[in-house]
Amino acid sequence: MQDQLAPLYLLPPPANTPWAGTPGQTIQSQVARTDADPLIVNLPLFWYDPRWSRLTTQQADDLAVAVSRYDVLVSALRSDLAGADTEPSFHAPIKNESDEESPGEVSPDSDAAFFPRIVPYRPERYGLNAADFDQATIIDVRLMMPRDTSGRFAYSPDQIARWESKTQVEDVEGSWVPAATFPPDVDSFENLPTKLQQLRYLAPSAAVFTSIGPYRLEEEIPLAVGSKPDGLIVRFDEVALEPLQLAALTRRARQLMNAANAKHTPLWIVPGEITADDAVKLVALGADAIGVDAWCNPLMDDSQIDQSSHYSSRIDFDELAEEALYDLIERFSGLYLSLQRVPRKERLGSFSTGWAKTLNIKALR
Amino acid sequence: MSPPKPTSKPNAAGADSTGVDALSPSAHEISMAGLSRDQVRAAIHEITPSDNDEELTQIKLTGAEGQHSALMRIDHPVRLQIEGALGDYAFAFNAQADSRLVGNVGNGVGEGMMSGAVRIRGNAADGAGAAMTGGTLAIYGSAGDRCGAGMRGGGIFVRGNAGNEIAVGALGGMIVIGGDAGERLGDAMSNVTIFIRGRAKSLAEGVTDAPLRKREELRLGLLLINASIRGDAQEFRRIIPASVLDQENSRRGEVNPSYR
Repeated sequence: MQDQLAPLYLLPPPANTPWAGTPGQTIQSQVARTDADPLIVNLPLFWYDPRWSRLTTQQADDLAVAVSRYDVLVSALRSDLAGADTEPSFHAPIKNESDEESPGEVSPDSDAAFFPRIVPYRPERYGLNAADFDQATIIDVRLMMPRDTSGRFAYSPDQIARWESKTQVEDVEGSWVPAATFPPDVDSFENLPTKLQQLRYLAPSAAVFTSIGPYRLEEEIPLAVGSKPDGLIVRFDEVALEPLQLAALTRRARQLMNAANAKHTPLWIVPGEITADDAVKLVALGADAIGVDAWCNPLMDDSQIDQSSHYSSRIDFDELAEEALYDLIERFSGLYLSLQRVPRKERLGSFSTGWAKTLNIKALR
Repeated sequence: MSPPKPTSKPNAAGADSTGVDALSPSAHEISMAGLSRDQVRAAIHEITPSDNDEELTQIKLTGAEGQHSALMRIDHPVRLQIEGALGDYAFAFNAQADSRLVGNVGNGVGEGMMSGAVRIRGNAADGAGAAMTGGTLAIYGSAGDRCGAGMRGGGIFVRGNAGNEIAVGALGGMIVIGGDAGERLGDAMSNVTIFIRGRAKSLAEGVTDAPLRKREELRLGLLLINASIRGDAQEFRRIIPASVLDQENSRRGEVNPSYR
């Protein structure tokens, strides 16, 4: 994968900067929440839209755990990862070493740790169960009509079959189910705050975000942040953007949020194909966390290849995730921490006059 | 100032130190005024349910003043009786409980409910019963737009009129409308049956009017009695996806070998 944002450079401190000692070595960030303590996010990376129905439930559960062991927030419903009578490992308390010695004795107490998890709250709520709210990290209220691989605004038969295997739904196999764009129990953007507040009550451990598409940022960002979510996700991977467009739209999204009195509301973006360097540059442009679907989705392809050749053995997703993610996350973390040494407005520069002018960053000569 | 402790007092004397009556399982009272949602929920869940399925333990809830997000995630086999209005998302994601409210409710009443019953003696706003997977939601007044949207199971009864796009995106379950319905009735619904007594302004593309079969008459008649909705099942029309009607028609005339 090549750097999309290669014309941008992460600038070191100027030559006359005094030796300031070791900078803070934490990559943790905080998300402020209404009526609750701030949420700690260990790593500002997330897997926004895994297509879990491509895998068996066991594989999906194993993969979700393997990826989230790297502190990447993973989006999944219980029904994505397990059948009717099974508790996904991804949703269970994280086992420590003593638990491994005596399996089955893990009890969910108040000190138990859980994998960082995003609950996709789609307008239709197919597959969503009340237990999905428990110990969630982020509730993601999706306000964008999803397209399936065919291009339809719809959910595919395999998705519906996965989500609804445990309810009374029958005979929907083989048909596409049209998707909605706005919660049917919310009559307008004006009443969206009540919905978000409801979700805060249902999921007291979580921050409540809304997510929108990239098409109407000028109109939709003010409306979305006007409902006072704890964060906003913009899904730029919906369109094949030129690198400069991606950079400019990221910066523009942040400006629109600032203008809408949401300066401190986190902006998370899903950028499509990016490298670790690109991810940090997007942070420098105003994003607070980056969707790394481009890094994680290939793990599903790998598993399918493995499945076809070694279908009788269980896939070692920990190993696959290490191969795919370790170096990228290490690089991201290193560059991200290096950013902290440089004042916010001096973090980026470009030798390209066009890029520098478009993004209003330092032109290097 | 610390928040007030939840109190659940029996209508008869004899509450224990937690405020929950251990001796008289049949009637309790909880005031929602001044309590958080969690405190109300905890107080309800503390009450020991009746062993007798036919006679649920009754809990009277006072202080309903249009609160949003009230009485959510109650998963307890008790009967809740509420007088007064509630706001949006009342009774969301409930199971087992039989809730009866006299008053109006806002948007999303009974969202995601899994089992049990919610009976509203008043009107409901938009999205009533959205994404419910089981149980019964009965609205004795009228319902707003998108009632039953995305539902996957259970039944919704609306004695009065219902708004536009009823059952939009629903995948399973049944909706009974005693009055009229608005536009695009049954939009994008998959495996749902709607019974309607009045008229719909328009049916959505892909759904059709179908005759009521004998077994559905019997089933609907029983459901109407259970939901305390007056009327004869024969007065209702059946709205189903056209594909389902095609399947029904193609099955007609098939010889079932087990009959021989």
